[in-house]
Amino acid sequence: MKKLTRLSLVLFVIGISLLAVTLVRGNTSFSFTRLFMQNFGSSEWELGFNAFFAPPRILRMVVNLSSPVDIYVLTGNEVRLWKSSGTIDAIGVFQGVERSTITLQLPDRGEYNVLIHNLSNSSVAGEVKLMLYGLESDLLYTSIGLSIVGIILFVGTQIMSWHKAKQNSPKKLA
Amino acid sequence: MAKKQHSVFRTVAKWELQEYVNSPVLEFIIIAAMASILIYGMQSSSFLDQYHMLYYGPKNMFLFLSITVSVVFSRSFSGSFNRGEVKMLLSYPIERWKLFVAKYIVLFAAVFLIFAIIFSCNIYLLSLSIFEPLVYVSLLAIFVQLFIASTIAVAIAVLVKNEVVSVLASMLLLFGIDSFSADIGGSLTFLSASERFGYLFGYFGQLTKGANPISADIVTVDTISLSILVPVCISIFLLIFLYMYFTRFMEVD
Repeated sequence: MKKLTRLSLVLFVIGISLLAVTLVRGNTSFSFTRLFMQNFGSSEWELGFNAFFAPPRILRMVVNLSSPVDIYVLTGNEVRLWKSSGTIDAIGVFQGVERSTITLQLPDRGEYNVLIHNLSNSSVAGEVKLMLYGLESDLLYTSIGLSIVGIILFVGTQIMSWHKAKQNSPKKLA
Repeated sequence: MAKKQHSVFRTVAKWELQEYVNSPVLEFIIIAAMASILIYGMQSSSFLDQYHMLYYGPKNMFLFLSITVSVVFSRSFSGSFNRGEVKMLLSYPIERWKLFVAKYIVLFAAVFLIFAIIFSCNIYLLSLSIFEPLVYVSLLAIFVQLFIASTIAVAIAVLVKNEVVSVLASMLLLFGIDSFSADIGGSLTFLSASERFGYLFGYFGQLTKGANPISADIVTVDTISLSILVPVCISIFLLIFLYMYFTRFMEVD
């Protein structure tokens, strides 16, 4: 029983520490890459950035272009699929974007890229800025899960020891 | 006879482990390790910048590792003198060397295990391969720093035999050695944990990625050998001295 109580406390401490780590890591929102476009030809397809690493946070794209474009957010595997077969299977599709702010919850931790397609008959110029903000969802869920398991275990062991004490009380024995 | 000797050693190690696991120091180590290793911003523009994050992200861990080592080792060695545990244990048929070695190995393994497990979380956090050599190089840097820091902390604890004084003295000495050796430069940089980490990371980065992933400098075989050998040799020398002192000359009152 003592071991289980100790385990519950350690789990709770790990959960709370991870929650604090998640809050501090999620407290930073920064523009981590930007793309300047000049004379992006009509009907062209282009991978907008170098492949970038991102945790499961909210991706915010600030688009400021001279003509509308289609923007696709792809994972590393989806980029490879597009390069090999031309098939687009994107996690985020934003069509006809010219001047706006787009947000997308990234599902997993890993490699991403942005594919841009010029829809118009004229060349496009402007800027696309990527920012990450919000908490890393995987860390958040893990930390909350560990804390809850710790609390449940602790409460469970306390109830069990209370029951045991009650059963062994002098009144019962008598 | 040998079996009995072995079982006595195991029993002493088990006592030490139980004391360690049941004390709030375990929570302190977990919190310190998580705060120092996992708190860093994802400031990357390229997928290949993961190595930058792996190096610069947990750079504070050596500071926290020194604090942790000072507290854990001093508390165990000096504290057991203060509380009369050493005297009590030595009144049983337990040899001194078993007590010393069991304490040292258990504490070393426990601290290293916690820091290594939490550091390995970076494999997931940075989407690295489980066989990424730079992760294991970083674990080697943690191991070497823990080795030298723990021998210094144990030396102070055994000589001073006062818990509070030895915690403070070993903290100050470890910080002093680290910052002084980094500032002075030259061959003394091999005593600085962060400099050593830089050499190790740079050299193995050159070997596995073709170029030093964290700076333009080229790390030579001599530099890398000295950066490992100097702290390891000092630690081994200190450990042998401590072993001799603890088992033959130390007075327990």
